[in-house]
Amino acid sequence: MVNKSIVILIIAVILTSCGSDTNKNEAAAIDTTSSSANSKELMKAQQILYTLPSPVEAAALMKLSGATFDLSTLNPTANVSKYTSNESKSLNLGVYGTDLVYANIFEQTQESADYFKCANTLATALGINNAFGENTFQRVKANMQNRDSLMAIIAEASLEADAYFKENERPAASALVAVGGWIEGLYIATTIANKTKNGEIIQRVAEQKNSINNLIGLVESFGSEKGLSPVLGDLKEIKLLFDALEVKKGTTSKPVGNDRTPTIGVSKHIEMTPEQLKAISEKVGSIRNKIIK
Amino acid sequence: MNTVKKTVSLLFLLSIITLTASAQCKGLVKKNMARLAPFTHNGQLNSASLPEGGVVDFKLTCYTGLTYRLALAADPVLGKVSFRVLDEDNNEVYNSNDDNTTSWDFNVGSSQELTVEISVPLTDKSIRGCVALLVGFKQPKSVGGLRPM
Repeated sequence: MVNKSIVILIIAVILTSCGSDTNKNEAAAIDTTSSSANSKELMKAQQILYTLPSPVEAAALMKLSGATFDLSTLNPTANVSKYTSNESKSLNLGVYGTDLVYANIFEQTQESADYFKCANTLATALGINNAFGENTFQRVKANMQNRDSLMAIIAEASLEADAYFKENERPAASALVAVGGWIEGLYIATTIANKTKNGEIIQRVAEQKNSINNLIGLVESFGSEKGLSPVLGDLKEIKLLFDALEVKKGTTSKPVGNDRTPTIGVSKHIEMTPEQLKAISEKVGSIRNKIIK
Repeated sequence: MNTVKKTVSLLFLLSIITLTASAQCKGLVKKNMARLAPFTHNGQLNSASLPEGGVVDFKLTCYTGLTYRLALAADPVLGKVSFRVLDEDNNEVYNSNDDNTTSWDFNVGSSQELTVEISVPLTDKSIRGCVALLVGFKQPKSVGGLRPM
């Protein structure tokens, strides 16, 4: 009887663990007696995964909008030795990853190398040896003058890190890296927006209203994983401020443009007043300083 | 003692199965990365393990000023996997079944959230495999394209 119980338990664990690279808002049980159409709807309702704007994408947008490089907005490299818990390491791997991308996209060669080292230090401490390891570092050194290739290498390193966490049943760490990277990106954007009053950059800040929901969805999907509750609380405070931004929506346009690369989607504009920008900037600054201290 | 050995063996097998599924997804993404060129990959592992008839939604935010490429990769055992794209009002703006491709380039008129729904066809076989959504972007005037090293 005991033998049968153990085998049944293990088989049950095997069946429910398949698909472990999906996030935890997937329901554990699916009614197998439903009709095929109903099963499809159940499966559809149960699997929602969130993709966040990557630091590479965010930096590209900032440069497009006319931002310039300001080292003082980035997390000092000397701070890397402060991060001793896995949570602070994961968060700041995201932070330094974003700083690395910003340094690179603005062609700051020495700073790119310095931030790469910081990312490598934290990645190694977290057990991710392949993402920012020696092999990647050599490729980075060889491509220092080639921004496009360097960006591709950084993106590949990010993928390795993301995959490592998911393969090793540490998706919460992946979420913390994403949060750290997003907060740092938004901090940089709000700092530049406040200094320059550049309308395009201010609009890019406002557009993060679209991303905050996905970020919260991602973090919430991991339930009560260690280190996520305080982060979730911080994100919800930011969300409240973004919720106040008014969205002016037009009609949905049918795809226009050439057949190969149409322009799609809903037409809309997110309004943000100077007071709202100030409130968001202060909140993001406060959370970011808590992460990097 | 035999019971303990059997338990340990089964648990070891479980960990191998779990790792294999995740590693296969990463392998699938890396194998298909070249399909994004000259777009830059977003650096995220967007994948799921699905059975026959399975569906997964990926939520992503796309921004004006960048051109995007979505490329679908799927375990061949799953058959003809398809994807469609919905805007934030849930209007279908693309369906891969309409043009029989597994990748699509587009721009957005306004920055917004899109939903990419990936569907595995129903069969009478009991199967499971990895599906992955590769997301790439580029600036409209990307200098020289990307040369992954």
